[in-house]
Amino acid sequence: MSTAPLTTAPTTFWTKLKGILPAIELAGNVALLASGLGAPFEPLVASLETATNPLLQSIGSGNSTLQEMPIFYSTAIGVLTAMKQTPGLPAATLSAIDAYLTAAENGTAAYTRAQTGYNPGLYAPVAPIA
Amino acid sequence: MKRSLATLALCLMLTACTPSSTPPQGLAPGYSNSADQQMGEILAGAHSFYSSIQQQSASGQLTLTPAQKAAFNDFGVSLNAAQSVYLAYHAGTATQAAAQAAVNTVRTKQAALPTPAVSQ
Repeated sequence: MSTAPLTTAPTTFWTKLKGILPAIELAGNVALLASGLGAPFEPLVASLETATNPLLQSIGSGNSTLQEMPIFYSTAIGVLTAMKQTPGLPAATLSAIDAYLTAAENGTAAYTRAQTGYNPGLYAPVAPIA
Repeated sequence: MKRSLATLALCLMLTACTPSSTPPQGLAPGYSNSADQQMGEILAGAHSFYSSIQQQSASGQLTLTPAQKAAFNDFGVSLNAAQSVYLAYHAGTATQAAAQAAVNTVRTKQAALPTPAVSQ
């Protein structure tokens, strides 16, 4: 058995993920402008930053994979959930957010199940998207 | 007016870990070592993530653009390949390096998935 460490994550991924927050804040601002509601919803944008910054700053900082994966999924779920609260989102937007939210939640559940023991049934071939 | 609101890159990754030549404390049943378990966990999460997107697309709950479909299918192809190599590694018929490379490819493909574009 090789004792060589597994490959480290590319910095591009972490750079990309850590770059999400400003985009979300911008998106929130765009939504606020579009809704015409403005100031009353600024706390939502602020809370997004407060909620996600520690998580985004912690990932890619040398934690083990076992620590980083739950952080990744929980961050994605938290951000998606918060985004759903943005006023004035059209149905298509909510649908897309829900779809990704469901996928992230399912990913979390499967990751957790795999922690309880080896199960080859978790690795059946996946079907293409038509 | 179209506006892009959501820019989440839902990606999977394999990051640094240092497998030991002896099984570590807390190894879950059925895994042969920590690398085996970590790759298994990562692939299980990626599998479920992809399958969820695939099923929601098939049911019409999620509408993907052609470019998004192509990217997800590319990710799915890499996932199938990685799962095959991982199962072989677990069974002792593939090397850890091969499994690691395949899992890393999955991570790379998932990192390249397009962000969900939504309209306002």
